[in-house]
Amino acid sequence: MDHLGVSAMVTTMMMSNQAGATDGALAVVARGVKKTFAGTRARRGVAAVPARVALAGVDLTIPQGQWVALLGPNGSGKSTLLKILATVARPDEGDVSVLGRAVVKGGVLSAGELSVVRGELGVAFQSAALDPLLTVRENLRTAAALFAMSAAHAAEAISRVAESLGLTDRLDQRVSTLSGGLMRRADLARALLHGPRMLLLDEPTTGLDIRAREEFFTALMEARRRMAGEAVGGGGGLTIVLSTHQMEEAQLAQRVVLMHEGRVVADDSPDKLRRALGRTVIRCGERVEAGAPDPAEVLRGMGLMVTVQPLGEVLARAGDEREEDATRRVRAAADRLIELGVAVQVAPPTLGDVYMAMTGRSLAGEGELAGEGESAKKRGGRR
Amino acid sequence: MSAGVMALRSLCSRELTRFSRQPARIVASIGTPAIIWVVLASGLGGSFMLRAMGGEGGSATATSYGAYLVAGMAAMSAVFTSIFAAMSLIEDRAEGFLQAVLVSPAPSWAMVGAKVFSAALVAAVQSGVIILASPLAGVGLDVASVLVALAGVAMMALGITGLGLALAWKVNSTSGFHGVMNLVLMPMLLLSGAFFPLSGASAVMAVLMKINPLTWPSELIRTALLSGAGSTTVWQWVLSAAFAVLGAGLGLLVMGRGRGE
Repeated sequence: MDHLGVSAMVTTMMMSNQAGATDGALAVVARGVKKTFAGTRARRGVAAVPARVALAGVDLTIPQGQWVALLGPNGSGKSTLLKILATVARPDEGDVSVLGRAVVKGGVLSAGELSVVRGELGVAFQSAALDPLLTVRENLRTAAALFAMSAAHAAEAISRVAESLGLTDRLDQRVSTLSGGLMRRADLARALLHGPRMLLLDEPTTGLDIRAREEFFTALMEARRRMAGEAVGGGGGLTIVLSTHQMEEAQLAQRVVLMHEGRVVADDSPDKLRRALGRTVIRCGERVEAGAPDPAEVLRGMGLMVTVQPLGEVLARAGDEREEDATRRVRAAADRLIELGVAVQVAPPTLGDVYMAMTGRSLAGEGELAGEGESAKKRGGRR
Repeated sequence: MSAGVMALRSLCSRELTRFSRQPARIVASIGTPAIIWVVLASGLGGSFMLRAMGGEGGSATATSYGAYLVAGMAAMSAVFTSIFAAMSLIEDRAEGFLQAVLVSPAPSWAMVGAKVFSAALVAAVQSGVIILASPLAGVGLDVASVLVALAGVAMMALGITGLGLALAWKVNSTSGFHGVMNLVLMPMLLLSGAFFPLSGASAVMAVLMKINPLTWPSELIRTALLSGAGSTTVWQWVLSAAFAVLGAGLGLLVMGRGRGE
């Protein structure tokens, strides 16, 4: 659903992204990927859960070496897509190639390719895939053996990755005693240990505070920079696919794929996506008292394009005019609302604004605010 | 060394490290059968007159109930160890470690193999403690009989752990898993000859005991300990090995299919 008339512009961007991606080596090619999770019948005291469409026909190509963020609220399908790319979930329909190998054809896993592809992927999920009873070093040794690394090679890789991620003095600490941030960095070390060509990160900072998040992404960027420096043979460097509902995290990527209800609704660089909304937007709340002016109506009356999110958040932009005119009209509309006693925010658009403009929904997810998001996610957790 | 063997060795090492870092689990897994052994042997020993077991037929030599129970307690140790080992798959999933294995190129047989082999090893060590204490109940030990008994324990553990892994792959909660395993395995343990001999059971009970896959490794252990390694039968070996292979194979089949292999 397009609320601000930006879909045509974004569709053009998506087409240019897909077309441009065919020029170089591709890390991911997904065509018509669909996935529906079966519902459950009602039992005594437990309500029935209807079947849920997680992916409703996703097409996506990612060139090697690109950092892509899948951005969307809980239930938008990004984690399901990531699991399919990680070869641990099977779509109902569609074709998926990962690092040049067809891992899914017509919804069927190609068993012969799985082992090879898994050997070239590094995956970190929402919870750290570490054994809490083992030390960081023991966990990394185990991970190295799973990727058939010799003991000497593993020892060298553990030292290198630990240094890169600031974990050297934590290697002999039991994982259960680490802070959340250190645990996620240790998990990132596990995912990077074998030198993967593509890193899949599924909301890797879930539960972390702002500082720990910053440390995680600083470590990730440092590791990516080092791996790019070590890359030989024109491999294109490390491809990263990050799923997140945090626009600040998506902002770090070279390309953002906005997902909504199992579909890709926008796909471009973060700056281009934001620029599609203009230089400034207005954010304000909905009318709360009878008789008070309705901000959305006022803004529409002044010719602005308005989106009202179900919980009452209002977003307005001037449209695709000259930037100077758009800014002037946004300022005038904001002044009018202030005169009417409405608290407004005039600011450059964020990726959250882009998401709201495209879908009419908040990136935070109304379902989540209503306490439904997490349960919906858990329902979709199993294949 | 192949990639699968490297993964198997590493995952086995991890399982044993985990076991060594859970002292309560070590104490409980040895202590429970030991306590049951002492209580049953001292409480019921005077009420039972048993013949030493030479396979199914037995011999005319009298033996104490305490000596008879040694094999049953070794089997019980194997059962408990196997339940814990299979249940650890659910813990691995909850803690996230399983995901690291699933997204790696390591074959499923390495993952299943690590669980069943480490369970067999732990069960053998724990049962070994009970077996080495069995002279206190009048059991005469020699190296061959101890080794055969431990082999029986290991085969029992392989089979039960494999079956348990197949179930644990489908179950999300440890409480649900434990309930199902108890529902299935406790009757199997009771009907394996662990607590009373096949020869004295009613006709119906005897049939149930004969078709119970735990009976044969249990009989193998008992025959080795009470009558000597040389008294074990080919059928005891074949059926025990078949149970081990089928159980582990079922675990591998279920987990392998789950990974798309």
